[in-house]
Amino acid sequence: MSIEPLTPAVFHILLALTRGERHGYGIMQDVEEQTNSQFRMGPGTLYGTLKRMLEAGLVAEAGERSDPERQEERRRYYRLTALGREAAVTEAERLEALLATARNRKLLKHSTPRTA
Amino acid sequence: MTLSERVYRVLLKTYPAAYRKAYGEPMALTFRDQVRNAASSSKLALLWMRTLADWPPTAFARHLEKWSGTNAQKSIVVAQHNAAGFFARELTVEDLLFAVLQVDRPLADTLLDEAAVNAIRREIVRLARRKQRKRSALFTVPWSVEFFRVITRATEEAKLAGLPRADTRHFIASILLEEGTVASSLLRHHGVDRARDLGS
Repeated sequence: MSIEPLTPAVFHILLALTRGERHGYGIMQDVEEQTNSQFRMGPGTLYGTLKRMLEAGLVAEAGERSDPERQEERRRYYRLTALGREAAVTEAERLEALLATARNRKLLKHSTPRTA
Repeated sequence: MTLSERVYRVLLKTYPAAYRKAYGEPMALTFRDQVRNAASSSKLALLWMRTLADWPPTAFARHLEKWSGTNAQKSIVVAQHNAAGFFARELTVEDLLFAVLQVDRPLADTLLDEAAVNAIRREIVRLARRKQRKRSALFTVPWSVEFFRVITRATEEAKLAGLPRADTRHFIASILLEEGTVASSLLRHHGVDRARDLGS
């Protein structure tokens, strides 16, 4: 799996895991928060993406345990790997550079060109 | 177990067995959490609409992983990525053609000259912009009927040819057969011929 550029789903999952270990639903909730509920990820997309990210070494399983809010049910947790963190940083920097170019070319409304 | 969860567990049976074994239970539990969080019947209806849009493309994509070569898989991921970037309502055959030309440069160079590749890409971007909507609620853009047919046909052709996997060449051959689509017309307009260029 190529990790650059990252798909939106992969990048949002990486961002969610920068806050610590999360189970599937925790990741979903974080993504909704990141995007002001504009994007929602179904379980099919979430676990399909997690599978590819596990294979690429971007995330790792962090065991199963009970969610503090739902004591009786065990959930599988995921964590960011060093490679995953590196990929997230690289992608954020790539997007930042792209945005700077777009601003410089006055592509965005209310944008002020910046000097390098 | 709620009725919703029981129905969702039936849908999970459409994913490949190995995938279901690894991810079926976490998916069902995640869906259970979503159902619990849907406080009203209208929110539950909305959740089901999103779930039903998410289910077919992801289930089919997991099956496809067994049959598609690396470039073919990557093309579908890139097509999804591009379509999501344009907030598209559905994944089209044009998205697939754009992705194949992006992912498999050697194949693109075999079939078309650089000017033709750029012309096709410009036309598809123009088309995508025209269809663009303001926002999308899902990461996985649902597949159009034509997109689904192209992928299925490519997979079947690879199987018939005794190949373990479909690749981008099968996708292009299948796109050419999808008459009435802009993608098929663009390829023909730029001189790509199924029999001559793809040996079928």
